[in-house]
Amino acid sequence: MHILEVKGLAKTFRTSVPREGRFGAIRSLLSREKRTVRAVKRLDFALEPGEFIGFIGPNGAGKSTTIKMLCGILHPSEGEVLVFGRSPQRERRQVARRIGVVFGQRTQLWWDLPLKDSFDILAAMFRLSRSEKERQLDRLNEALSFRDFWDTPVRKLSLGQRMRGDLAVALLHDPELLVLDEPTIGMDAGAKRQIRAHLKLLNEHFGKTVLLTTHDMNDIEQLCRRVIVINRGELIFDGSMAQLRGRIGMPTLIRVVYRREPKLPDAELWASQQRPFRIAGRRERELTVSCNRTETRVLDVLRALGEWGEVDDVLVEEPDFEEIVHEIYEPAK
Amino acid sequence: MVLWVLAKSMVRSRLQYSASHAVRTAASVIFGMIYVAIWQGIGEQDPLGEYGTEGMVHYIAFNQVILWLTFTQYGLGLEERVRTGQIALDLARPVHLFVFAAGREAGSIAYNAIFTALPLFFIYDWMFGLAVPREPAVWLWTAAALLMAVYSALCIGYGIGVASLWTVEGRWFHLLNYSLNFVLSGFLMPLQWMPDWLQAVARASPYPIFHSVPAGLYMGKAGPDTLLVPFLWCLLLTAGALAATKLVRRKVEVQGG
Amino acid sequence: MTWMGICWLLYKMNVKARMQYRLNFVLMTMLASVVTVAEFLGLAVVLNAFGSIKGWSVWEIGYLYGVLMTAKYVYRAFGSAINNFEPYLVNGQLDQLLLRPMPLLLAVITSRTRMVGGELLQSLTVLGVCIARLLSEGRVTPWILPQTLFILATGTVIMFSVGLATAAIGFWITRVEDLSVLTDNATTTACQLPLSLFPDWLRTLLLAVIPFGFINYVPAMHIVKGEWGGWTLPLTGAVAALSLAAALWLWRIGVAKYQSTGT
Repeated sequence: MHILEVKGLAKTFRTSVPREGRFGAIRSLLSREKRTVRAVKRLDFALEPGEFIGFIGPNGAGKSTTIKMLCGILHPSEGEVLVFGRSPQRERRQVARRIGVVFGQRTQLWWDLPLKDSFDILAAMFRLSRSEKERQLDRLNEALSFRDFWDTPVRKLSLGQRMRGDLAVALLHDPELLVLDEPTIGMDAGAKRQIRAHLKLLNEHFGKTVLLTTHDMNDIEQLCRRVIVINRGELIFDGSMAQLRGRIGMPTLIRVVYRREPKLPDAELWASQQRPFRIAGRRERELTVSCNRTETRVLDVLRALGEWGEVDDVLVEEPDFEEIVHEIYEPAK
Repeated sequence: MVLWVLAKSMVRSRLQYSASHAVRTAASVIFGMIYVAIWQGIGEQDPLGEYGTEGMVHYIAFNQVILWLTFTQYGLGLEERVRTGQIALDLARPVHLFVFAAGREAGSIAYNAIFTALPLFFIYDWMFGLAVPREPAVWLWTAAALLMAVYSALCIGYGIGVASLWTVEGRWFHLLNYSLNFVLSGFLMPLQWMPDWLQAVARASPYPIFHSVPAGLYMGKAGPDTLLVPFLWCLLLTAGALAATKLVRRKVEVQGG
Repeated sequence: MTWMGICWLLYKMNVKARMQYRLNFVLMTMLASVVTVAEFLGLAVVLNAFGSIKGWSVWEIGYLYGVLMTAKYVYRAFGSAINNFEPYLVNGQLDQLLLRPMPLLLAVITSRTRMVGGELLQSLTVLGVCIARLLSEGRVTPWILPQTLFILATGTVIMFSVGLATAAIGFWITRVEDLSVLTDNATTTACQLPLSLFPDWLRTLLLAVIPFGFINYVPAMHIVKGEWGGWTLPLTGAVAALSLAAALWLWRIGVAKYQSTGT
């Protein structure tokens, strides 16, 4: 059985648009324009046990809406979600017992109390016996090391410590599926690295299936073996990291500095000649072009660039993963 | 000029909250009716002195209407501005902080006056027949009283706002002020009918200007001599506001805003 | 651990969280009492000057006040999340609570506790003094004690139901803080006084629509005034049960609406 199955999932919102204009406030009271927003148009995918999936997309793509439907917070307009074969809409509480959710921007912990109190409360809610709770805490502590700040009030914890606390609390009832919504948001590089290490451990040693949404592409690169890309409510890509790279190729930026002002061909000539690269930027004697190294050799590009002037210096760069992925969201033609 | 612009901006931002406004107006009417009912009930067995039952109904109605003129937000919003750091910008402006804060609040009060107090006046007139005084002198003195009331409210609100910068529980002062106002301003009953000791306390305080004094003037039961003590209080409160601003300035400079 | 056990634990934790700000905690209870005392004093000064209103003596009105306020504070103690529901709708806190393996209403109620010690002390004192006075005047029998306990329970239920219904309406209009000024503040102030003072339409409103009249006035007409028969008490119980059922129904459809349209 799949851990998570999404079939034909769609979500449409009807929002009211307040009226503009001088008496907008009063007119809004009387009648509002209704606008239909299709946050999720159609999603189909399934998760197997033990996977570590990245769920990415630009803002407004429908990621949060999808996550909320997975957790039972929102009901889908069409299609269905099955978590361990159950519908989070119809059996919210049973599903809640088998998944752990962490929202990066809001904590589940009790703000004014020491961390350990949050564990006690949630253990009670999930009907864990004291021995079960202690055993689970010991295991989680191996991965997350939170005993160090066990007694500190949550409001005094650093972001990284709080996230570890949130992870521990989400896993206290030993769910098989862990859903994380932007867990590293707002953290510095060191804290992010640490959290990533913890997540890797949880997945590889503890066998948790993890669904991660994030805007930080390094999270994806280092943790996920499978990536789902969503944009405008639709699935654009669902495959392994290797496939993702293959799909976009290896875009490269080549920056050349000419000895003197280069002579570029005019627009018409440019259009007529088929060149395997694109001009990305130009500044005085410096010219930047981008190409796809799976199709073109750097040497060929340099030879072509050399036709426009004497090349003094060359720099070859690979744009970071984020820019690569944005290519998928909005391919520049 | 500055005050006008500030006030206008407050009015515009308030216009957006029309639904909640309607609800609050309805609530005000209900509160008014409750208090009127009390006096009508009492009036069945007591002639109610110089006011009479009808007079008391008008007294209550009038107080409900002018209540909206002296309603200020907690500390004139100062605490929030300190928390967000806005206060540093406010202090850097060429406008005195008190003028700035009071100007903004005055806009809010003007909005309440036009969109809440005025409609309420007509509603109460329709329900209970509010007597409208004929002598222009009465209007003059009532207007003077109301101006002093608004000004006093602004000063007190400002003081509370300043006090809130030093304590965690600034709300304590706000609620304390509200409580004292409720008991000592003559909101429910003219001061003359209070027990002597309470009356003395009330008359010495700045609170009667909010209700007992303007209502008394409006209904022709009191003369302009009742404006003397409130006027003195206005001067005192102004001095207080100026002193308070100095304290704010010093505190913000020390803290860094 | 049973449901009651969980609720009790959450209650204790909420109190503990509040106690972190010890000075704040003490001051808040004190100053909250000050305001309610001031409002009562304002009214008491008026009553004191005139002795009685429409046949209701100061002590009888004090009884009405005591019952109403005690019910209010007990409701506030465990239902303060419902009374201040707007933040939950606006800040997305509801989503967090939907992740818990418990009914949403229970999760909401246990997420917040309010300290009412000072206020409860004040209202119970007023109630106690008035009952003692009425007993000494021979106007009531000792039956007043169990009867008062009963109406305190039903009164709390009625207050809770109205509060819950108001909060549930928030699923449609979000801005319920202003609405609750009407359904909670204005109605409470009105019911501090005998409903016979008010015009018919207001009385009907307070009996049939927002049944606060059944918290103190209707039962008091029997218990204290002896003007109405014993049927008032079972009727009060029925009204309480009905209000609760209606409020819970409204909450349920509100939650369903929230889950299909979000915020």
